[in-house]
Amino acid sequence: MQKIFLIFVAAIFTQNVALYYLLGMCPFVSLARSLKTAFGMGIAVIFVIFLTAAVNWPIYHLILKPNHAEILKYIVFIIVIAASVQLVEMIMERFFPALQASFGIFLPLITVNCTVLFVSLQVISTDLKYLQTVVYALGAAIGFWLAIVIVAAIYEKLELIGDVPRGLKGPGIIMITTGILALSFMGFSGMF
Amino acid sequence: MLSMFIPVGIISGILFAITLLLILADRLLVSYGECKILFKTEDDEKEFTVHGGTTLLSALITNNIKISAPCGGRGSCGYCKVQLASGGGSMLPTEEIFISKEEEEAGTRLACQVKVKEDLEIFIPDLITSVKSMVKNKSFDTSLDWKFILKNEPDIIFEDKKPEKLKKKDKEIVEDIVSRYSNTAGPMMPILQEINEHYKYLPEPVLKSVAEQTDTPLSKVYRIATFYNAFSLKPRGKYQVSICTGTACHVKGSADILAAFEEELNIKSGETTEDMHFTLDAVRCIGCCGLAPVLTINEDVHGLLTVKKVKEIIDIYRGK
Repeated sequence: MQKIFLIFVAAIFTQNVALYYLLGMCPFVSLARSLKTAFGMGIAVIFVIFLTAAVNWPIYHLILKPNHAEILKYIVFIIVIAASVQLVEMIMERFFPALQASFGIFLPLITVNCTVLFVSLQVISTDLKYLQTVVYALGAAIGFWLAIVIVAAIYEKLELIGDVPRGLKGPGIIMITTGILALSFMGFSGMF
Repeated sequence: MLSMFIPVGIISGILFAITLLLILADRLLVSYGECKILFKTEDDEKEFTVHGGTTLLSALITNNIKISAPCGGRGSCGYCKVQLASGGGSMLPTEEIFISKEEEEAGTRLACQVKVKEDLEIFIPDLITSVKSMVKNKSFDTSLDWKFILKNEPDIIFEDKKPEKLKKKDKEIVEDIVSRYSNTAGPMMPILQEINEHYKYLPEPVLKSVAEQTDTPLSKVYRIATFYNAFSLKPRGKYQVSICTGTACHVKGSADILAAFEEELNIKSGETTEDMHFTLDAVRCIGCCGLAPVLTINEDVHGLLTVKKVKEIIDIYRGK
């Protein structure tokens, strides 16, 4: 039980996918300009990462591994991610149209976010159990959400102050903010 | 040897399973079951059921209801107008350019853009039959301009005035302008520009006279007159409001500015207010991206606009 908790906290703070591995920087930088879109994107990421990791783990351990076809994991995971996002979209369009309208474009966009594939591969390479996998995926996704929301909030504040040098406006200042935030997140590694 | 085929088998199996799952989901989720469509014309009423999920246009065509859609349902011709009494959801951005404000209020939509997801009640005015019956009764005066309007009471509206005749004064003006360009190669553009400057638009009888005097087919004159944004065949307001929707202005939110103007003046882009005071137009880049979002009213430039400023600007010109 304690181990699961540690995995959860480590996934959020010490090994944050955005700030420790610097993954998914493309949507990160482009969406961290407004708190509202960052929040929506983050929630959609949590949803998709959790779902795909939970589906990909059994596929790897029950189908690929017994047949010594581990090499196929990349292609299979990508297909599963794409298909499950499609499926989730259909289900949401049918039963929760309001929710789908609020996710808007983010959901199909996340299919190509490398964080999603990374989480599925990471749980395989570190030999986590199923429950641990689910918890890790949830933690990693919440970590991404946390990082993008913090950076977006800082960026909005900086916009209000308005004395960012002209050459650093936009992506430049976001990268610097992300770097400083990553340094501060490194501090968490001493906690455990 | 056999081990070679295992990965192939696995990947095909997984692909097959996923495809099957998606097809199944498509069947179960995207279809909306049987939807009833209650269909009315002036003197007819029909009801039929279709599988949900298709467009209204294809549902109508499969049920042998004639509706003109020359573009084949791509939403580019704007002919397949129907009135929705109930159901159908809100208007899509693809339809906006075809549907005027008063039609929108009466619930007009393009059939090719409406997806059947619930029971619908639609009304299609039968244009062809009503024109035919009018011709039979000899009540259709072809010398008058007419247009078909989908209001609450759809009808063919005849415009009272006969086509304008060329006045003597106008003829002299045209003669003067044309004579000045008699030795110029390609005189049509400068001629039309001068006429546009004089009248603020290109009146039909004047264009006919230009065609006669320059010995050019009217179709050619029409071609030039309709190609350039600077020319208009309809009378324009005293103040020509041109809102820039170029890239820079678009990024800075010119769409909101345009919407604010449309609301404040109660017209759509391209239209003129009833008091002939304002004409609203969305134009491409006017070359001062530094002031984005920007607009011009006649010769005046207003830059760095916000939605709040819109009313102030309109009030300045209303007062004049």
